[in-house]
Amino acid sequence: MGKFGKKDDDESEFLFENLDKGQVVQEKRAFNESPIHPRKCSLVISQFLYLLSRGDTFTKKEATDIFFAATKLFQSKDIPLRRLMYLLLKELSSISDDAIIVISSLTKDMTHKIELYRANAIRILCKITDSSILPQIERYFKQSIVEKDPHVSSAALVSSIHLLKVSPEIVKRWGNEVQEAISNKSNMVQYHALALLHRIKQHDRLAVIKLVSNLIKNSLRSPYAQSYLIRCCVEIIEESNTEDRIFREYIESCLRSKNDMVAYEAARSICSFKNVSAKEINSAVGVLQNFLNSTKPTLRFAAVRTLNKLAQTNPTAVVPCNLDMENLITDSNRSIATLAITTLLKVGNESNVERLIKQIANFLGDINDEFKIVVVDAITSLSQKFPKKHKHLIIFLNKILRDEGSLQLKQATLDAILTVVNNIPESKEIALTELCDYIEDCDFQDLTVQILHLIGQEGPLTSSPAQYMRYIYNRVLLDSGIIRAAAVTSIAKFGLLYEPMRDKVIILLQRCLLDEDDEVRDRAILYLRLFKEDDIHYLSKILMDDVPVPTVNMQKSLEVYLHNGDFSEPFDIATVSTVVETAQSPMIGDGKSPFATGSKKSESNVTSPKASGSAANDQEGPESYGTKLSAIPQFSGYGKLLKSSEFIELTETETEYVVNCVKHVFKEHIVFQFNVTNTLNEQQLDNVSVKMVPSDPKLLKYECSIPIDALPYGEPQPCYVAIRYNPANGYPLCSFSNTLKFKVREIDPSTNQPEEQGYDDQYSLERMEIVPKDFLNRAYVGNFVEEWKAISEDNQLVQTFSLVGVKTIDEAVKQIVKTLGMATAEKSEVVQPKAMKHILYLSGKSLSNQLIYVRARMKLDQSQTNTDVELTIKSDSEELNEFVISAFN
Amino acid sequence: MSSFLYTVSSFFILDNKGERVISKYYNNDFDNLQKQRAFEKKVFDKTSKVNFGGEITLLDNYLIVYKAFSNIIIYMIGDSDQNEIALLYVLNSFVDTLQNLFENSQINKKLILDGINYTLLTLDEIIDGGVIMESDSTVVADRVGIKLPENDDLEESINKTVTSVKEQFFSFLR
Repeated sequence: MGKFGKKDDDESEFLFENLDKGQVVQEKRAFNESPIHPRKCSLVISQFLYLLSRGDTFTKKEATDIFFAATKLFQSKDIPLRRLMYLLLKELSSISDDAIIVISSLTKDMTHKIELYRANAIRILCKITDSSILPQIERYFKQSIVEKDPHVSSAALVSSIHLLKVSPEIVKRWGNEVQEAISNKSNMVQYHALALLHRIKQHDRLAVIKLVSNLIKNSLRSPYAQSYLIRCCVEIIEESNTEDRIFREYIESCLRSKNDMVAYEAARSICSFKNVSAKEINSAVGVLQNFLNSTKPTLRFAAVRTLNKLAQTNPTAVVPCNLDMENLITDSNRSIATLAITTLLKVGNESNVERLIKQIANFLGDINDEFKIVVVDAITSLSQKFPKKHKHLIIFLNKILRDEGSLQLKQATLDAILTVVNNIPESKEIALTELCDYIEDCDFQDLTVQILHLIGQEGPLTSSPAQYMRYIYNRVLLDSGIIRAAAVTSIAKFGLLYEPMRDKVIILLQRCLLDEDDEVRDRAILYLRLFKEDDIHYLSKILMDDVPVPTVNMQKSLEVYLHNGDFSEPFDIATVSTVVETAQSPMIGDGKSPFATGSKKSESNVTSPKASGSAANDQEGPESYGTKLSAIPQFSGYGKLLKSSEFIELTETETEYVVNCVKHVFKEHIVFQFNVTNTLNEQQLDNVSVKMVPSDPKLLKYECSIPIDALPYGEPQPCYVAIRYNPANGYPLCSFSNTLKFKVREIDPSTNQPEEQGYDDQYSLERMEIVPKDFLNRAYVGNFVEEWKAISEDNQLVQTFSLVGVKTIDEAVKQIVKTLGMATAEKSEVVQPKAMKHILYLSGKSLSNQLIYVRARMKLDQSQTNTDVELTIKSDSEELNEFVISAFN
Repeated sequence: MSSFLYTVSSFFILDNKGERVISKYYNNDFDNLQKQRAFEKKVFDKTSKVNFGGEITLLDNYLIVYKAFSNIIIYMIGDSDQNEIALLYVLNSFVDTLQNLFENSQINKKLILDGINYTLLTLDEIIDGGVIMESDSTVVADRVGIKLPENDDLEESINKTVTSVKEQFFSFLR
């Protein structure tokens, strides 16, 4: 059995593995031979089936030809051949044309005395019928469902489950037959009947509750049916808030099932409940605990995975399993070990965490890098939970760093150490000492550079900075150019931040002047000069400040600046976009959310652990808008684009027409760019424009409007409105009511073309305002506090007000930054958690490049529901101060 | 939670190089051959590592339950929130049925391919569109390994008898 003829063993494997489709397709003629040779035909069918399951594709014609040839085999009385024929017809029925043709042969088989024929015939029938044919053959289904033979009944029931998706109305009529099938002696039939009946009643909650309560009392035998019933109970409990205990009691009773699948289904259901009694959860966890000690990996996996999930919501419930899970840390199945560790770490407490870490350290040598990264992540999150244990965590992480491993693992580990150092200042010294040791023998240049950066940043601020210098200078003596350069910068930082060492630093820098690497020499010369001139201000600017914009954007802007060749004005870093631009143009957007075009990635990279979050404003790069707008003839005379706002949504994102707006400010003009998306595929919109009615018409003059000619479905396009204002009379701060106007042309579904005739329609949009922020740009200053002091108090304006309903300082900071659209300085946008008061520094400039400094002192009021703010604005113009403050009116 | 009913989302057998021997996908998660192959490769890469340990893992929101033999691995794939043990039971039914049909020979690539008709019929009898049809391996083996009914075809034997009687009758007449 199982062999085709007396073929030689090697030959038969060869025969199948290298089957050629073209050749096999020819062999279908075997089906036409008379008399039929069952063995030959079986072999040919097997070959077809093999090709299909291997993934070979058949063209529609090939499939149809084979399908029709195979129908000849209905004449054969050889049962094994017939069984294979059914499978072939079933597999081909979805690719072949006119499969319906076999319905008469199949219905004939439905009355055949051999059960195997009936069972398989009905499975094919379900595949080839649709709602129009089903009524004619409905009776075969009803008959088969109530058959005693489990093969036929199961086949009919499972087929009906599939048909429920095709013709639900008809299948729903078979409720009585299905009900009868539930009492079939076969377990599988019981399961299939339950599933079908539940699905038939699915949309009638009361009927489902009745069905389920009845079946609970009936004590079903089939483990599959029991598992299914548990899911039904869960659904009822979650959706209907029923007071009836029987559903919960049933699930609890299933915990005691001898069948692992059922007991597990019950246990995981209980663990997923939101409201659960201690008694219930304890018995569920008890079942899982048994599984943890099973010899079967799948049982252990299932249990530990469920406990892992439970640990998030109810860690105490998991604690009784701790010992069992500790044994799983060394499980030969890595997935189980990973889940065990992460679960243990989630429920870990101050007293056992140390032991746990030791235990994990013991088997580190046996596991691969990918898995070590999981461990590293878990350890990192642990550091937030148990800051007191930082020493053990750092030592553990350093061990991973020092062991053999890929760069990916090492980078993840170093990142983890940086996170710990940032979160737990006390861990700084031990981390630095360990890292200093590590760079003595580190194979990865990137990592060494990052570590040198960290030592330079943090080392001078520790209790004994001098101890690190030896390690850094060793790198200058022993390593490659890029590392030497990083080391030189690190040394200079010690000189800057820790004065007692300054003389020593100068000596070390002098030694680097003869370095063979240009970069190293350049840096040393620059730092030395600044030290000698004692220009601490500038030194701190170049050593300590992060570049406030993404380096990619910086590079692009610099290239543009150089390319333009106009060097009359110095390069201004404020013109560099802080938004990481993607390839797609923000002008058109992707039709969903304009913000999707620029993922707001902070420029922080791993080398700067203290991410400077100055990307506070979602401003698109004006250079990209500038070029595009100046290409439009109507706007070409407006001059240089001074400022573009962020996107303002004027509709909900789920409406028929989605509109957002960008305000472009020029010296005497404002261009409103409306990005319009038509989300109705049965319409085309023509002549699309926005009508804007200002609240104060005297402030501005209408200039022009550029409509969209034709707006098909799903392709966002911009239309424009331009206004003119006189800057001498102040900026036109007012609001607009907006209406989208257009002509609708329905799409003819037969041709997919819009119809000739259309009708005019309109759609109201949200109001929009012109606010002071539209006329303010970000500006970057090196040392805010000094600049602030330098400006006399005569040029300042102070105002106090209250931000009503702002309950946290963090929220207040965000709101102020958003309202003014200026750059944050001195990293003052970082608020200590739970702070009650805070000072925020902002710097910006007007469109005519006047610098503006803002200091916002804020504190929560006594009720802690509002934030009081004292805003001080300094600039060289009183008018400008007034203008800035008006942003809060 | 996805339905318990559609237990299996896909099934495949890969050889020791990760090449597909056979496969069957029960839903449209991977709707073309490239995606299927890429998924199979990922699964193979994760599960074939010597030091990984066996039988079950989670990958990209799929539960992977598998059994390795000398030169093939048999995989049963389910959604990530599927009952792990249910998947294991299906895999066991499949393997047990093959053992039964192949009279306890060692399962390997050659056996699966030589008996491809049995392999595919077994799969077809156990899973229908992702739903478990039958789990009892003796029942499945019976349905696949079809014993001929005692009186193969009554009509035919009657016909034969009638014909021979007729012939005898006519020859008698002559």
